[in-house]
Amino acid sequence: MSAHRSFDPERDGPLLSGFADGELDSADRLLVEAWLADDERAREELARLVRLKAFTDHLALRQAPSEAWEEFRDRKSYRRERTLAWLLLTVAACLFGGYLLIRLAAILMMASIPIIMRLGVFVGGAGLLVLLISVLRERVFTRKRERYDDVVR
Amino acid sequence: MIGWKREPWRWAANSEGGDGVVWHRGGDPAVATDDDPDQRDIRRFLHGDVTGFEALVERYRHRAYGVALGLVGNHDDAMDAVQKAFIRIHRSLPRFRLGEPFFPWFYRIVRNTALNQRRDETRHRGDCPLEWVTEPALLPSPLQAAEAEELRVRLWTAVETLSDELREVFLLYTFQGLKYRDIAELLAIPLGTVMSRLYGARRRIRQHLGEKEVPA
Repeated sequence: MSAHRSFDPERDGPLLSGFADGELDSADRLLVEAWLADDERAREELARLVRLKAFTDHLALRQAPSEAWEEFRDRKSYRRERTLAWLLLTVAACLFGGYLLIRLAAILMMASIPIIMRLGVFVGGAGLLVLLISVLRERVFTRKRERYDDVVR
Repeated sequence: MIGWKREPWRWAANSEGGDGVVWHRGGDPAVATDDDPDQRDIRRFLHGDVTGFEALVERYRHRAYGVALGLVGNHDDAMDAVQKAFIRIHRSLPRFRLGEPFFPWFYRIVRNTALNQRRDETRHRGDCPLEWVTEPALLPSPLQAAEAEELRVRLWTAVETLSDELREVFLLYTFQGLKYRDIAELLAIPLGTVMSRLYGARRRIRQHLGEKEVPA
């Protein structure tokens, strides 16, 4: 950067900010020092930045209390238990549903059932199936694709 | 009290774990070495040893909480985000490319999870998660303390008005103790962008606080 470039408050604020943080290389530091020697606006802006930095230096983000981490560990184990419970319930539902399906198919095969009843059961079953697929699709594809997952930095 | 305000985050922690680890400024932070405990724990996990993952959780949970708290602004949502982030990390570790530094990968997951959490389930909006790190004796005079306390709350309100881009850089520099170069590498953005985002954040915060209200 040219050492003769004059200070522009709109353009050069980031360099002043870097200067206040001690993050500039020697060339940029010299440039800022030249502005500070020559330009009152640069000195005022730097003073404002230093005041804010001095204030934030007194602050920090809170840390989580130790009880929160104990709860965190408990939640992890509850989650494992719930995953197991859902797995067992899913297996039971599949067995139960499969049995019901076979029984239903057998009933529908009976000649004594009127055609309108068979049609009704068939349409109802198809509706349930579509609903099930829709819920599964939402669970697997939509809810898993969260907005910020795609943000690549 | 706040260890990692003064101790910068590291790309690779040493085997001690926790917050007292050493920052290896001499090496290339973009290259993870074989003696890196993160790599070792990930390998253990990938070979079926769950304690490898437990060690990662232990080493990074405080940092995950710090990132999440800065983005969501309250304890409950931050803890939820940390929980979800570690579940995602557990699920995604088999896809982690060994040899690459763990921390940037980990940071992205925590950050994205926290942003999703903030979008979906923000509770207790208005809480101020900032606290004083200064000893009471070193605070401004008692007369100024009440004013400083009000400024602390207003500063956080100002941070909450920042865009995600400005807020992230401001939090990483101001409250996580990262240097400009570390932030640039972490977010994969040029150094000049770090500088301009940080300045933009400070300028907006100042505007929000009012120029005269930042104590000299």
